[in-house]
Amino acid sequence: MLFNSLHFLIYFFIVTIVYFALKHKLRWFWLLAASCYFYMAFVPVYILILAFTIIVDYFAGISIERAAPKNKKFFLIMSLVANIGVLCGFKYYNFLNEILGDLLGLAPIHNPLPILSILLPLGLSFHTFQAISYTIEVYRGHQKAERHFGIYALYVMFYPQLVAGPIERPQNLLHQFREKHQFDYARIADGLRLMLWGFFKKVVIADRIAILVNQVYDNPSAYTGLPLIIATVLFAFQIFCDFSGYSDIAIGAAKVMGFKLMTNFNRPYFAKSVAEFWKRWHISLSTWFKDYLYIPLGGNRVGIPRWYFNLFFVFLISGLWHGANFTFIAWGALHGFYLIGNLMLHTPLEKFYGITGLNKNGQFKKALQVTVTFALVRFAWIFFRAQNMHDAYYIATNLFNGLGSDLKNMFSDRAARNHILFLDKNPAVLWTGTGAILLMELAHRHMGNRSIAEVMAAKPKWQRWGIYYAILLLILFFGVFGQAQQFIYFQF
Amino acid sequence: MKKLFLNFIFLLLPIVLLLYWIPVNKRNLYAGLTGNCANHAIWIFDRLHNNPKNADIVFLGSSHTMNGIDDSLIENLLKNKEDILNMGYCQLGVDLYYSFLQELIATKHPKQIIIEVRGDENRYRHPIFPYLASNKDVLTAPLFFNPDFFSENYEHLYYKLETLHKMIFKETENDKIQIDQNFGCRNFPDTAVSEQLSIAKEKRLQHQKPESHFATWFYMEFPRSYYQMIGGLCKKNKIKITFLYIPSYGEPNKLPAELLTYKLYGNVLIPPSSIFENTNFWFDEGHLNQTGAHALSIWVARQLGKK
Repeated sequence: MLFNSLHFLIYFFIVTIVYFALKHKLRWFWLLAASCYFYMAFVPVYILILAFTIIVDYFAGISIERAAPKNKKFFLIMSLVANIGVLCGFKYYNFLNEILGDLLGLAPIHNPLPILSILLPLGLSFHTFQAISYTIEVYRGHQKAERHFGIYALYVMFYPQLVAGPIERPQNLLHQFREKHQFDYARIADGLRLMLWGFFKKVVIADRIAILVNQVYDNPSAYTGLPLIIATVLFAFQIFCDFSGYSDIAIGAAKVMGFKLMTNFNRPYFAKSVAEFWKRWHISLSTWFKDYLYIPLGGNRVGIPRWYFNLFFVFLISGLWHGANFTFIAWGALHGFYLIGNLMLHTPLEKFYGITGLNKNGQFKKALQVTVTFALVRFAWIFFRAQNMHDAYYIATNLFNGLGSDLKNMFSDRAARNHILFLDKNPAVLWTGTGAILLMELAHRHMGNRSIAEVMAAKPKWQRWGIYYAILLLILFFGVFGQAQQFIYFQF
Repeated sequence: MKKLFLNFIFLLLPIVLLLYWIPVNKRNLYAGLTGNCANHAIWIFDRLHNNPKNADIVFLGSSHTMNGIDDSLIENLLKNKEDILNMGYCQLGVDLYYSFLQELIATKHPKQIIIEVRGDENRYRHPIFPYLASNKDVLTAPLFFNPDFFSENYEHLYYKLETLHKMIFKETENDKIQIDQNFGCRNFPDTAVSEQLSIAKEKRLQHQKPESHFATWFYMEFPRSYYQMIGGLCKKNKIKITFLYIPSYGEPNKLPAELLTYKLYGNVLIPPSSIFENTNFWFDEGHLNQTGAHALSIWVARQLGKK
């Protein structure tokens, strides 16, 4: 069930109404049943995989808590093996098998392992990481093992964040299932506003510009120069609006019922460095990697070479987490290099800012840093979006090929303009997409560091309603409907 | 909760009303059904709106009519005195005939309409009715035994919105006006395998279950109310109504079950069973082939000629 579908809207309405109508002691059961239905709306049988890991982790949590200190690790490893085993089995088996086949082919030896035609369970990487965080936190003694099986199952399966996060921590979420959430008009209105904003980002921006991005990335060899740059810049906004739109809907839906999920995005394209970008982008995943991989590896409290290795390794794994493809590994590796480069160039850059006087001109320096960071991040997105390394290489090496003639022809020749600027689609697609991006960025600028709830609360009622109507009309008239577009992160 | 509920209504009501009001080009609504029924919707639109040829006698019905009534042949047999039009459209639903009839009256002023009927009257809406019908028709559709009333309104608004999107982003299909084809008959020369027909006939006999008077009344209220509306519209515009029986192969009812209803509004033409029992006349168990259509059309032309 996709968030951007009528099915979901009806489901959400019924689940919420019944949730508030039920007595508190029954609510967990209702939410668990609703979450099961939500998950089973995709591929019903995959609920068994989820059930398996839930059972393993539930008992692992209790066993870790009860076990003598020297035995705790055994149960933790058992849980990690089960979770990562399922993840690898479904997500990486074919990928690793293909690599093995290629390597054996060099010998040449026939690869005896078959390629399996298995569909990746939705959100597997997300709920696996959430489950892992539970057992690790119990192992570390930061979280008590959950004795109520239903509540634990709900922690893993809570429908708003089941398939694409935010990846929650047990300390933040588990206790909320025991709290009684009252019907609070202000909170519900805040949640609904956030959902509306999420729908706008997904349906009006992400899905609209996806038409242009797909046009180029599905057949990149038909383009060089400016079209590749335009498609890549647009993809940066597409993925942001797609994923942060999903997160807004998830956080908003949870908020309506009284649950507080963690923030997942904080205007990432305003970051002044790649390191800062990762503090603003997919925050729940970055902090997960920081807490459960980077710091256990030693973090920055090691020698410089090891520190650089830790950074690089974490981003390599982060890339692999996103998908079983060399393109994702390359994307992760590129970000690893960026961060290492950021550290290595820190002192020379500060000197450069001092010599050029940029330190005195704060706004210009900030604009320069934001632009450079966005360019680096955008370049890395090429690998994330390309279907294979061949396409990624083609796009990366042809970004500036013929750029001069593109700029010249764009103004002189209508047919060329249609190909170069509008990417062989109706101009209305580009104008609508970019107009909506502009609107979103203006809204971001207006909001500053305040939340939507704070901004809206400060406005008079007529302005609030005007904004609701404007967003609803933009969604209706300029959104993409029909066959609901899947969220990009669902595949992970 | 009351405050939230009221705010929701205040927020959504104007939006829903606005959606009804959206000015969508009617041709685009018909063009959007590309892929359905061999793109026949856009042909019907252009035949009515862009083709100057009249339509004096019009056949309304399902694919039985579309395949089985050769409008060109009938026009020839009637010595071109009348302009004949086959407006059959795949699948059943008297609500669509009502919608087409209004379009027809607005553009061609027909003298007579001939509505296809079968052994059993269809009790449900036509699947494309909400796509082509006007706001008024969708909103005032009979509520009694119409389980699709609300979904129909939703589909109607959704399709209008979808069409508006296609207009904004210029993705409309079938932009070319089709004025070169005067006749709506679409059929095939092939003949069905007689075993296939026998199996279908057997199945029909097995599946026939007698229904109580209450159930018949209950389910028939929906089509009957449409026949009443069609009857009223035709009376107002002085259009003669005739019903034509075109069953599937092996139909156990030799007469339409709703014969008395049809007789309230016009004559009912029952073609000889020799046409429908001849296995060489069928393309499949539901549709006449070209030979069958030829035979039926000759018979229909004779009936029209008599009058």
